[in-house]
Amino acid sequence: MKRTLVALAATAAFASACAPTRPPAQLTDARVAFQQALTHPAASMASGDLFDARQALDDAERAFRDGKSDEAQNLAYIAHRKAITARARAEAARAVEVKRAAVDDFQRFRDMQAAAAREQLERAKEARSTAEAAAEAERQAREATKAKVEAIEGVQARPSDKGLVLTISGGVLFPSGKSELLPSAKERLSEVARALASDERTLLVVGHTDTQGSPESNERLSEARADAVRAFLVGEGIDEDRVRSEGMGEALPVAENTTPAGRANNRRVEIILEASRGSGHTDLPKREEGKKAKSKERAKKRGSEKDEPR
Amino acid sequence: MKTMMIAVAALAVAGCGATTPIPVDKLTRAQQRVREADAMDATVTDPKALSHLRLAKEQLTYGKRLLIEGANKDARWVLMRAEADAEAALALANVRAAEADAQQTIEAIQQAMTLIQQGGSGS
Repeated sequence: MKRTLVALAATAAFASACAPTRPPAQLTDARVAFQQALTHPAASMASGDLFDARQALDDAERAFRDGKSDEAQNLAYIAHRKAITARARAEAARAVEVKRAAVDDFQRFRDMQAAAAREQLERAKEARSTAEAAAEAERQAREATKAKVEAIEGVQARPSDKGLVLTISGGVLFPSGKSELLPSAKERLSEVARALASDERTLLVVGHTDTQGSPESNERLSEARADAVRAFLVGEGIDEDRVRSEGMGEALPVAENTTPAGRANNRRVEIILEASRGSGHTDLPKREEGKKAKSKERAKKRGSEKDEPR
Repeated sequence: MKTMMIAVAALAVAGCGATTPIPVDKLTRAQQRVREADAMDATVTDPKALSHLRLAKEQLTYGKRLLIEGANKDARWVLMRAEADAEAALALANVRAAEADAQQTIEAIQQAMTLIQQGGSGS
């Protein structure tokens, strides 16, 4: 019995000594390569290849444990290559994914650009439509204003580059040489104020005289008359910020001052509905030139005329 | 190639009843993979891919010789190794190709975006 046990122990020791204790280099390489493939950031993108590599490595490990040295080496060699393949396919898949993400980003960028362009176009269309509607509304309002003022007796309306010019004879508005409005003038100006109430244009009230009297007194009288008309219009509800006044004296006649009819035409007040704010103003140089020219004319003709402003 | 296949077929017939059958499928697959890897132009730019391709070719040649010598069992392993090397070569070559493609695409996109943004800001 004892001899049998010794024989068995010897056999076991012999078998143990023959079994490989150190793994072959191929198996070690395969284990390392598989771990590298398994822990690669993109490993999940090559799960099928990793599975194959795992199986190959398991086969190699099994052969090694079974002492099949040659088979273990061959299987480990193949497992090593499969691990390399798995890792490479994960990297390739990641590169494809990176490209796809870049293309998707670019597509989103283009989509956003296209959307922004469409929105901009829509806004421009809307703004244009609004502007056109506003322009049409303004045109209609101006037409309506023109129709209303043309219907007022004693008021003449004519379009000009400055805007719509309403002319009211001075004789209708003021007593001779004065700047207080006549009662009949107030009625007329009330109608004018009502007609202009819904119009948004700024108003410039300009007083004019004939050449009777001195230029200075005429200037003062025209200013006083323009101020009186302005004050009346404001009193009738026209926003005071919307209406201004100025006196031109005798500088800008519309008729000869040599006849009573001509002088009557020159004595006037104009209400200019300005095409744009300030457009009703006469440029100062022009005004000064006009004044000088008229002063010369007046000097020639003044001799026979009375020296009282009218 | 045709001669090789005829030789292998002849050996397969002659080998009937031998311990290890002739690994025709392993030969076919190894040849196929090596051809595919060889056809990849990009492999020449990657040293690792090139190295695996060289090993695959060498082992394929060696495996054929073993088949002719009748060492079917050894030939089977060598052909399997050849196939594994050829697949690794292909995969590595594909990585470089995919990375180069991605890089080119990203650069083209960046250029396009720069042009678009310049066009947008210049108008």
